Amino acid sequence: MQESPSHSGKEVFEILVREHADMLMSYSRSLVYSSVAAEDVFQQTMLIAWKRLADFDRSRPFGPWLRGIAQNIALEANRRSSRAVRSADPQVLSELELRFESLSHLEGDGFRDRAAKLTTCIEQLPEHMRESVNLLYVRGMLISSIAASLNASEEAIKKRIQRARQLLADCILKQEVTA
Amino acid sequence: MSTDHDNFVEPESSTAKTQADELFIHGVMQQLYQDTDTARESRIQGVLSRLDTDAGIPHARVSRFNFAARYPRFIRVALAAAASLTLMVSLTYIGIGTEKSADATVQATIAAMRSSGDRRFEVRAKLETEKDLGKEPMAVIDTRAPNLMLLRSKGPDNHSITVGRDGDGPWAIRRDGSVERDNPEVRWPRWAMLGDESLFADSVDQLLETMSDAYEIKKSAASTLSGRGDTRFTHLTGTKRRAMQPGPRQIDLWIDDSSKIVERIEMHFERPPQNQGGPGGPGGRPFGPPNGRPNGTFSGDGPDGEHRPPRDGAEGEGGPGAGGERHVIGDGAGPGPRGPRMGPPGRLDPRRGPRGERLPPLELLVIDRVNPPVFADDYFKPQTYNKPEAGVEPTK
Repeated sequence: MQESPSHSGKEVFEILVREHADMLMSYSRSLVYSSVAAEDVFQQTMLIAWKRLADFDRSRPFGPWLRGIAQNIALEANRRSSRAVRSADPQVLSELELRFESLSHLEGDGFRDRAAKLTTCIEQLPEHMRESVNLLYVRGMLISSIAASLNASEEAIKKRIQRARQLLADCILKQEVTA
Repeated sequence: MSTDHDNFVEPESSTAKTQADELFIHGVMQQLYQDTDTARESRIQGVLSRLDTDAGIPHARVSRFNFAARYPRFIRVALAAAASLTLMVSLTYIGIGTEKSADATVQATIAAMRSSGDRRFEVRAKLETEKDLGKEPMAVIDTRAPNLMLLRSKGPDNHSITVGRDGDGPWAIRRDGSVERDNPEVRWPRWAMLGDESLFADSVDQLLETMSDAYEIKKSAASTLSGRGDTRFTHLTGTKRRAMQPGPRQIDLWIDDSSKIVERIEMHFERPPQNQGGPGGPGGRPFGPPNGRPNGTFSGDGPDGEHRPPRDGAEGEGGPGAGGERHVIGDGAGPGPRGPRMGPPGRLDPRRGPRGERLPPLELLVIDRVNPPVFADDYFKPQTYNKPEAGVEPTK
């Protein structure tokens, strides 16, 4: 985080918010079940970051710091209301952090540019998985509708999605090595 | 979108690594494919607008250091604690927590409604004299993306209204089966117009944006919806900020907490003041365009029994027949669908049906999301629907 002398603290922070907005929202979506909760985690994280900006060690990257705040907010919400987070297992959260960190090291201009490498990975999926992934994430269809349109059981679709997500993770994280 | 919660595919719970892989990809995919620039900007502006006002946030590093230099640590801690406590009590007391949550819900819903996905909505209306909503929908609206929608309804004379939007913009099917691209809006049902834009397609999300500006939005207790089992939906209630502005008195939304998709919208209209018609009058155009442009019917035809002429030379159609009573949607005042923009009420009063009979005002308009069928690739193309109605000669 390099503060330009010509920028006020607020202007610098706005740049940081814009730079990290997609990453943080994506991380929030990974953490919590509800989209509203993800929006809340995003808002609260950014506001706490602003509040504690003075405490931030500028020699370190900003993204992990934001994700740390977001994780604490999500876990706190989980203590108040069970089933708020998708996983509260410290090991899972630690592994999740590694993956977002890895993504930030990919070549590309910003989070979206890096994440878009998934498109290539999706193309490499077996057809039945690719179809299911497209219908779920790109078209936003319900699992039940996907099952009906692909003439498969819901369980079968869920298995395809699970397997596809694992393959996609392998694929995009491998790109880090080759990039 | 229904990719989380009830529609969320839980990771295979084998190892922490695979769980993390799946959660990681889930979050990235959702962000990549289901977020929009508008939602992103709205989210960012939401943060920026609160930087100076929210939670006692210090303004800059410099001020903190000045403060630190002037006061011993224990005084700073004590002051900070007192300030935080005061602020927390104040925020709780004035209900900012609730408002934020309602606003976040609306923003998330706008984002969700703008994301791609096959959806179907059914529209039903209840006039003041009717006991219940009609069982059969007055219109069916299908959407796939902000630029792909199809609206089908019936005019007062039972003629079909088929309008839509595709990659080339809005379109409408003329009664002779030809496709209207130049002025398709003249054929859109009036209730589907909000300002100069369509209520749908641009649509529910646009309604929500309007709502967030013009309505005081509160989050009510989550509740179930009839026919939806035990699922509890987020319930937002919007109350018009200013009584004199057009639009329903109250809008209720039920939102699926996981997908953020609107499951039901209820628009409650109030009885228009007597003898208060005319352009711009209160309640004159629940969803009609500004400047007294036509509104008030489910069809593009005028309830005064005459057909509203298309603009710019678009071909005309026959006037409505009997049975137009059910189609008036305006809540009474305001110019008639065929009337001059600034004309007085009277013969063109939308409270009068196709035969001049007085029509009861609209009380309730309900839009329900239902499970969509599988839409074919050409589903949103006008060419799929450009067949002449029975008894209507196709244009040579």
